[in-house]
Amino acid sequence: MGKKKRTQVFVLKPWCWYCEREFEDEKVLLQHQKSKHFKCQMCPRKLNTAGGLMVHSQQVHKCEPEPLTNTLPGRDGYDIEIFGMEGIPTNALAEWRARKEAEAGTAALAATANGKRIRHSYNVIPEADLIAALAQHKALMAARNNPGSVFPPFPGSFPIGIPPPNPTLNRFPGEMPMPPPTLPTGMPPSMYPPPPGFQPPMAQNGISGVAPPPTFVPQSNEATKVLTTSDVVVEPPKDGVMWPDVTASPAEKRAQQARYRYQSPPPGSAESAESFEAASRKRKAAADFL
Amino acid sequence: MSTGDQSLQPPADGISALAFSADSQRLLVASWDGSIQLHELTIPPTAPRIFTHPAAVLSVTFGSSSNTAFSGGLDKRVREWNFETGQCRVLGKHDDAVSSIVWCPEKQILLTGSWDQTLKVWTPSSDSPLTSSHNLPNRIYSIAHSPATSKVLVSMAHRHVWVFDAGALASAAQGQTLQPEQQRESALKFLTRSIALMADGKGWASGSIEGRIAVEYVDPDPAAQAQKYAFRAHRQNVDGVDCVYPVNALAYHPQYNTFASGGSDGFISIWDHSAKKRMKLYSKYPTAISSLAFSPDGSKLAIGASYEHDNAVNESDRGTVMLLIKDTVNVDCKPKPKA
Repeated sequence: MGKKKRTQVFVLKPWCWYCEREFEDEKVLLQHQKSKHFKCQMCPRKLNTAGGLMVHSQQVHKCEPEPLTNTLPGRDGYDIEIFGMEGIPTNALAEWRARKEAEAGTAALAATANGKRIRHSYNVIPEADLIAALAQHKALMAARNNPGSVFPPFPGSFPIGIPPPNPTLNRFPGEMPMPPPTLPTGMPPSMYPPPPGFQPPMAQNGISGVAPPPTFVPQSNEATKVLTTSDVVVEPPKDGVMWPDVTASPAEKRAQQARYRYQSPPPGSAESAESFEAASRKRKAAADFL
Repeated sequence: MSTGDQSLQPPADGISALAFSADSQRLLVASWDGSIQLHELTIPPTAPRIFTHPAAVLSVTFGSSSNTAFSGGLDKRVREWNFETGQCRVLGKHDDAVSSIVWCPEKQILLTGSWDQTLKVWTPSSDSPLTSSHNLPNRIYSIAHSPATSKVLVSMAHRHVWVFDAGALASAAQGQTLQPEQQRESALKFLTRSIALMADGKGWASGSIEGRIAVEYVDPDPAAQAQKYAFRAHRQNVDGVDCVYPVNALAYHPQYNTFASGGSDGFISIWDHSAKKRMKLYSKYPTAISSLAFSPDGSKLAIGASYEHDNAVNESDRGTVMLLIKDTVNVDCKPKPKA
């Protein structure tokens, strides 16, 4: 009703997708990208785009290009062609805008907001922080050049406090350079062996990028498995309604798919909760000797 | 791809449930890949500890401390985890998948709901943990609990919503038929997909598979009942067709009593149910929102995004799984002062 709308002039500055830095001017942004991210590491040549750099490397130096330099983790790929503000994934752009708007909003409400948000600090960064950041960066680069050492070999002991697989360069606490969600999916899960002792029957899950989940039916008697995926009838969208089925939830239908189907262990092995418990107790005793 | 959220290492398959510990320092993720993953919310983020199950996990909750947790899923068993020792104990089993699991801290009981149409009450500290089992009219989809009023809400297939008192559940003996305080029918015409109790426990929000959210009140008084309402959400006009998406996740902010909803359209909205207003619409996520959870201190919102097998996501994005933490919710969820 009588609420006054705060009139805010909100201007989105040009920014670099590779390192999330803001610039006053699109021209400066282009200069920055050329010299920081699209510079050839073998000659003084600077290219306009990631694709240009790749072609340059392949044709002039006859080698596969190094990952892009000075980028946030995970943004050093050649697959996205970005020139200034052009070519930035729409999703990233929208999210950035939302973030900037939120920041502008919080800045205006700085008095009321409880100051939880950490903003960029343009002060002089203490030398100690710089040294620490450099060390982290070196570790990251070393890890990249020598992938074997990224993930430590299986520790024989309990996996508490395993060092983070992707050391991030965050000088300002709370400000997270994020690996893109598509990148590290499930690399580490298989790296950490579950501690001995608590393992239910299924021990291994082979995981790759978008791996199917472990098969839950390690049964030998195939004859009992009569149902197949084709038996799972999922109603297609109707009149725009994505799930027109009113008799079962998406999760219930999903659970019927072959890859999720679970068969109880045959009677006698570990059917009852009691024997299951006893089994885990037994393992516990074994683990005590370790 | 960049989002403004902090991203954590996601599981290998869809996310089914998220749970924060009482101190807001730990996050548990249950996944269809058959594991629960324990994240320490430190900076920088570390790799989670992974605990595997023989089948997909549908629900997870922390127990009396941040070192104990309970999980249940398609293998029908109710498991207790001790994160100090890494031990797992099977408390017992249902006859079908365990779809929902809730810890009532004030009564120190565990409630589990299953597609076998029973609600079971457990006292994990005793030698025979199963306290009682109650037959309900249909498959249980979700259970919500409010410590503020000690009410337990059970939503089932065929739109049943029953309200129980946690104290009555805790004291019910095995074999005794316990009458619920209320037997309601959802205000929505379609299957209930998600449910969340208000922070003050006075009412709840429920979302259906057909892009609609209802706000209802527990108080049976007609004046309170007259206040219930429903509205449309999570719809989108795609190429001239009005697409209607399931509302997969609802969560109330523990302090501000506003709620977040997430749908298969990949959007998250923050709503103020008393002002009947949307306060915030976050930008679209590349895949469906599977699960949402606010940290008990109200500073963070955990977001699980993955394909829900409900036709709503493009083929190409179906493998995407994202686990994100949004830490601006204290600002976003604060109700605007009334004009």
